[in-house]
Amino acid sequence: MEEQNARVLVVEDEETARDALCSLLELEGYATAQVPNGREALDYLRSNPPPFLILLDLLMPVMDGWKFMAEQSRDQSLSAIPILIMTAAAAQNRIGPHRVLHKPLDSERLLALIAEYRAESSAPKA
Amino acid sequence: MAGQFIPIRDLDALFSDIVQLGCARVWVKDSEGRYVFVNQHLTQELNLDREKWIGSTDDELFPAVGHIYWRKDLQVLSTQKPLVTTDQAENQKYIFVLRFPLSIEGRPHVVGIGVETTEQVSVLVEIFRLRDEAFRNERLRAIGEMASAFAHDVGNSLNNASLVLHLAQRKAGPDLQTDLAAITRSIGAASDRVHALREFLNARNQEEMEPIDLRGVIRGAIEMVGFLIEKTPTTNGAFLTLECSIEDGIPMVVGPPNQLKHVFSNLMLNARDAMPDGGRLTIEARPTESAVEVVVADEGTGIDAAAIEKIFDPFFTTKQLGNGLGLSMARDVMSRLRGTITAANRSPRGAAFVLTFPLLEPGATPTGR
Repeated sequence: MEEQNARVLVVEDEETARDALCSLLELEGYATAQVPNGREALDYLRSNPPPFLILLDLLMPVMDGWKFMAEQSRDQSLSAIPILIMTAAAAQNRIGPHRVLHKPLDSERLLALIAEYRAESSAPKA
Repeated sequence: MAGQFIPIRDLDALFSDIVQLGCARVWVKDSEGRYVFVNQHLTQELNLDREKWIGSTDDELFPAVGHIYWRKDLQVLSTQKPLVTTDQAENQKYIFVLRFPLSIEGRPHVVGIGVETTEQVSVLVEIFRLRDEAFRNERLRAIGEMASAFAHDVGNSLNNASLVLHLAQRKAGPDLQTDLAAITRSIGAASDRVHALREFLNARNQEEMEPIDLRGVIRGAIEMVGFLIEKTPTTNGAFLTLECSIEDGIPMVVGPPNQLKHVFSNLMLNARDAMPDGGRLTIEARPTESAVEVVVADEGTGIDAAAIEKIFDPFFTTKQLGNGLGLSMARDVMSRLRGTITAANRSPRGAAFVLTFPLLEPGATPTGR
């Protein structure tokens, strides 16, 4: 059985970036799922096992990253899933508890951070 | 019933009283600029004995500005026409002055009648300054918005290129790696430029945001334009009342305090313009479950149905002397703090602007786009 908890959910409206990100992550051995907006991300999360990380764009149609974060933080079954924000808009290095990576993404830095999140998710809980 | 009409017998005494005891400054100068008469009000205002005035010129009495007054007197003497000006006088006072020529005992003279308008002129000067500032801010905002959109779009394009290139590097054989590395360096250099531009834009926006007490901001706005709202008659000669009600325990919000002060003062001035026949302007602030809501409402003419969709667009105005930037700036300021501003007509008359300030979650600052 596939290890669902090794999955990364990519929430990004740009199809090229979404596909490339998923391919890159799969080359690194991660399972991926991809959706184009916050609404579909919530639908995915509510009907699938939780990923260990959500890669989240901010500016998206239908439901943007801000609204998605607000919904996710209100849903106790989803609020513990870490989010790594990727944005091309002016933004700070942290939004609430979430780290922010600015586009254009530095792939090596991105992969290093994802590895950190993966390690944290796999570490035995006290 | 009207009482019995009693005509005034001693007109000389009446005119003397009006000139001496009225609240206007009255003076008469000869054709050489020497004072031949000053009224009691003027001597008291400037704390100068009548004896010092009579026979003296403005150059002698007011060396710094005397030549300016003399130039105006000369204009009246040479054209033999009245002249109305706003003069700057002692202690930053503004005096609304009527000068007119008068022949006294066959010799030309200039009569001056001045009324202090410091309070009114100061308000107008402040409003012009605010409008200038709003215009400058709007231009900078438009440039900033274009730069932000540019950084966003180019950032996205570079992001796509960078990710696909990274994949290509993983898949390509050794013969292509040198070329791919060169492209990577070019994309990296362009990315650095985009990051630098975004940091600049971010820093520009962030420095203006701070925790604010809306009560203080609204009070500041009322202090700024309250005189025009409550004490200055409208175009139809009516007066307005201003009621401000801010509930206790309004939570702090985050925003640019000076710009918000301008937002509220602009809304108040718009409400004033919408009520030429008078009425009530109300400002109410109250906390809701997830925000602080401020409502600025008037009893005026309301907003035309065709205009209501466009009133927040830059340079859209329904006023003859409006620049169409006040509400556009308001929308920009509110969207930067992740709030909203909406407009609606009220029943039976008037309009209401509702501003919503989100309560900030700990650790977050609303500077992202």
